[in-house]
Formats: sequence, C-alpha cells, structure tokens
Amino acid sequence: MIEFLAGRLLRMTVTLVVIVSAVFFAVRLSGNPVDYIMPEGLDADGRREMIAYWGLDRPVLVQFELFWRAMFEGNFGLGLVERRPVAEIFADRLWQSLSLLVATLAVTIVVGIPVGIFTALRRRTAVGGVALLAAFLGYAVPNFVLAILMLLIFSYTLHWLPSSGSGTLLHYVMPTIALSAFFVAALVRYTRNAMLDVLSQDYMRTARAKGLPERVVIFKHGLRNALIPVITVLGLQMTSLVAGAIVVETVFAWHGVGDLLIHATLRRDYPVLQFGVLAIACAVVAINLLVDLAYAAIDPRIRFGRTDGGIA
Amino acid sequence: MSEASAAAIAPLPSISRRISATLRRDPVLVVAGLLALALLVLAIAAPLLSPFDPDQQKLLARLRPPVGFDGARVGYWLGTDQLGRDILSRTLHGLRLTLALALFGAVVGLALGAVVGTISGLVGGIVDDLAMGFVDLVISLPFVLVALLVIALAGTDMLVLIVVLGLAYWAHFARLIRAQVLALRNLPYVEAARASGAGGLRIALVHMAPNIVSPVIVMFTLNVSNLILLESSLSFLGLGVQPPTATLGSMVGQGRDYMASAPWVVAAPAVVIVLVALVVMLVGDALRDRFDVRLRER
Repeated sequence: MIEFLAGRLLRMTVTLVVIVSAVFFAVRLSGNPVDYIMPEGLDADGRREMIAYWGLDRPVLVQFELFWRAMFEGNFGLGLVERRPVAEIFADRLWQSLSLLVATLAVTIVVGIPVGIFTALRRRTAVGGVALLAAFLGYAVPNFVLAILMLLIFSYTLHWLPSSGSGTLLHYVMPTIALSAFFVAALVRYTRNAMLDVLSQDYMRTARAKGLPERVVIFKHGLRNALIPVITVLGLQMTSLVAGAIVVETVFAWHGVGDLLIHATLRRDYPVLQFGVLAIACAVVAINLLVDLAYAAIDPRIRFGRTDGGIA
Repeated sequence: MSEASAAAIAPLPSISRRISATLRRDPVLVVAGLLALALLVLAIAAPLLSPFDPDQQKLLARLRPPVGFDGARVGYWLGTDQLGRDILSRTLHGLRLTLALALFGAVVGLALGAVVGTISGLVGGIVDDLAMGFVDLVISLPFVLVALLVIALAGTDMLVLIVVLGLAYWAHFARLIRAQVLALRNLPYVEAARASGAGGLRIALVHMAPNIVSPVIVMFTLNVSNLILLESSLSFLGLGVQPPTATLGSMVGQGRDYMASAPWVVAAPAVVIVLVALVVMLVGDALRDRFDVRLRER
C-alpha cells in the first residue's frame, strides 16, 4: 500500500511539474508576455521599462527559476481587469463554483445510479426503454443547448425561474440540471452495463441458491460489485465536469471560476488565466489521486499490484 | 479487364439485397447512416440550397419570424436574425463549417495519434514509457484548459481552431493505436514480414494499418460527434469562429440576447446541433456494437 501511494505521489508531482513548465514555456513561445500584461498603446520606452521590471530581459532559465520561486511564495501576480492578486479573485468565486459542483454531483448520484439499476433490472420493459432513450439524449444534447431551451421555457415563457445570477435556491435549479444532464446520462449507462455484467456472475446465482431475499441479492451482492467500475468512471468524468461548468456558468452568468476563466480568455487577462489553469489542473490531479486511492481501498487486487483480475 | 471477369465469376449479392440484409441486422446503423448522409449532402450543397448570402444584412427586415407567423417576410423560410440575415442560409452554411471543422480536427488528431501510437508501439522501451506517460497525463487533464490557453495566446484564427480540435483527442488515438500495434507486433505474419526484410514503415503501413482500421473508424466517428460539440461550445462562448461567419454554435451564442422576443433565431441552429451530434453518435455507437463482439446480445 505504501509503495502504491508513493508511486502515485511521485507521478502526481511529475504531472504538476510538467503542467507548470508547459504553461511557462507556452507563454514565452507565443511572444513576450509583457504584451499580454500591458495596456494597449504603450510606447517603446514604456515597454522596455516594463520588460526590465518583470525580469523578462533575463535568460529564460533564470526566468524559469524566478517563476517557480514566485509560485512557492504564493505570488501569482495581479489580475489585469480587477487589479487584485489573482488568488484573491479566485477565492471570491470558488464558493460559487463549488456549491454548483456539489449540487451537480448530488443530483448525478441520486438520479443516475437508481435509474441505471432500474434499466438493468427492467431490461425488456417499455419504461426501461424510455429511461435508456432519455439517457442517450442526455448524452448527445450539449449543455448550452439544454440551458438555452430551459431558459426559453422556464424563464422567458413561464417566468418560473430566474434567468441569471445566483443567490436563492431557485437560481440553482437550471444550472444544476444543465450541468448534470450529461453526467446522469453517463452514469445511467455505466451503472446499467456494470449491473448487467454482475447479474450474470456465478456468485449471484449462489446468493439466490442460498435462499437470500432478492433485495439482498441485488443490492448487497450485485450493486456493491457493480459500483467499483462506476466509481472509477465517475472519477474520470471530472475533466468533463470542469468543461461543462465553464459553459454553464457563462450561460447563466453564474459568478464562478468558469465564468471568470472565459472572461479572462476573452480579455486576455493573462495572470488570471494562468492561475486558473494551474489551480484547476492541480485540483483535477488531486481528485484523480483520491479516486485511485478509493479504488485501491475497495479492490484489494489493485492494492497488491494485480490488475489482471478481470476488472477493467 | 481481369477484375471485371473476376467479378463475373463470383457475383456479389445485389446491392438492394445487401442493404436489406444490413437493415434487418442493424436498423439503427442504416437509419442513422442515411440521416448522416442527408446532413452531409445538405452541408456540401449549402451554397446551392441557400436562398440568400448568409452574411448579407438587411436592416429593414430584422428579427422577422419564420413563415407562418405574423410579420414573416416572403422567401425567408426560417425568419431573419438581429441583423436581418436569412436564418436558413446561415444554418446551412453553419452546418457546413461545423462539420468541416470537426472532420479536419478529427483528421489532425488521428494523424498525430497515429504517429505517436505507432512509434511508441513499434519502438517500445523508454520511448514507449515516456510517450505513454505523457499521453496519460494529457488524458487526465481537462482539455478545455489547454483550449483556453491556446486561444488566449494564439487568437481565434480558423487554423488555430482546427489545431485546438485536433489536440483534443490525439492522445486517445495514440493510446488506441499503440495498443493495437502491440497486439499485432508479435503475430507470426508480422514476424514473417520482418524476417523477409520489411522496414518499420512498411510493416506499419502495409501489414498493420489494414488490421487496425475498424477500431480506428469507430473512434474516429465518435470523435467527430465530440468535436462537433466542442466546436459548438467554443463558438457559442465567442472563442471559436468569429463573426460574421456563421457556425451553429456562434448562431446560438449571438442569438441568445434576442431569445426572449425572437426565439427562432436560436431554435434552428440549436435543433441542428442536437440532430447532427445525435446522428453521428448513433452511427458511432452502432459501428462499435457491430465491431465489438463483446457488446452483442445486450
């Protein structure tokens, strides 16, 4: 277990170093960063002065060292639009994004897993078929189209729900649905497939033969084993969740991190974008590590380095 | 001539019979395939089918509703947008551009992935370890961050957009192709080719490529539908194709502000996005079910 953990931590560190370096060199390859940082219409003298001020006239490797040093000191620069430290700008918006993500995850799990089980158990019924079709639609309809459709119906026509902003519980309804539709659909499909795999296993027959009630067979013997691959897949969907949140936040003017990143890209607010990329990449890497650990904790085959036990 | 006589000796079943056989076995594939073909024809023929120039503005005919509603203008079947442009023409041209970008992006991704995957699989050793480590890293991170960074640095040129779309899934292709190459590498027929003096490039192109085509086709198709959604999302956010050029995503994005009073501006492109993504995804799923025996009987 310790070996496994050390391996993962080493990999995570390498990943983070690669990401930070890639961001650093990408910026310098595409021109002098001073042009992103400075207001337009700066004259040549002013530009030279700023280049010297930011240390951009020094050798690249020296800059690279300074870049790392600044990061360890927690100095990520000031945002260009809001003249404040970027970490502060992010901190203000983090709560908004996190609350939306938690709501989305909750809806995804509460709806996705039961519907997935249902469609697996009621495979040949009309209701099961309809649920599966809905899941397929949820997979194909892009979140911004769904968001627009809901806005059209519930805000502009029926006037039931607020079209943008945040604050009350009602504000959460549409962004949460728009963001979770894809993941609910994905989870239904994965849970269904995993359940179908498990239902045909020998130990399920054994459990029934022992005379256990059907409820215990399905939930204790079936679901527990089916959930192992489902958890991994849910972890892997983290990257889609970030992408989805960025779009949905923009549509509903939800003042979260995603909305901030899009505006930073549009206005070339470079320090904000750089910090956002690094922060989100770190968060995703950390979540991947947690998923790996959870997976190892559930399944001893991984913990002891044997991955050939027919899980994949 | 010899080909023709060979065909005469062993006649293939007639086309109509083959279609009906496929239809019975795989109705989803046939229906989705025909729909995909129809959309492709619409996209290719967009300049011929469009009643107007998609960028031509007519400020006296702004935000007119589609035919059949009060205030509709003759000839503008789906109405006009906030600048008086014909929505039907813009939707057709938008479909054309969206499909073209997704296809180009998928080709770029496939090419990159094929090069990395093949080299990684054939050379092995430290090259393989490094390449696959990088591929794992790329896949584990949200691609949208890379996209935002590239767009912020390089601007929103059409070429940049194709590169961004190509970068989105190259690592997935690389992983798939490497796995296939590894599976084939030690098969007797590849060994025989190597023993008879064939070089790495020849082995890759002549002996291996034909045998890994089907999983690659499946992934390519699923990729196109993902790229359609990615391109639409980027254009919707204003980070993709720039105005006045129409893509489906940018039409929805720009029409959004007028949605309360003129919902038809976003309706047509939104419906087409869903339709295209759904159809391409259905084709991809049906192809996968067809090629992947493990998924049968479910």
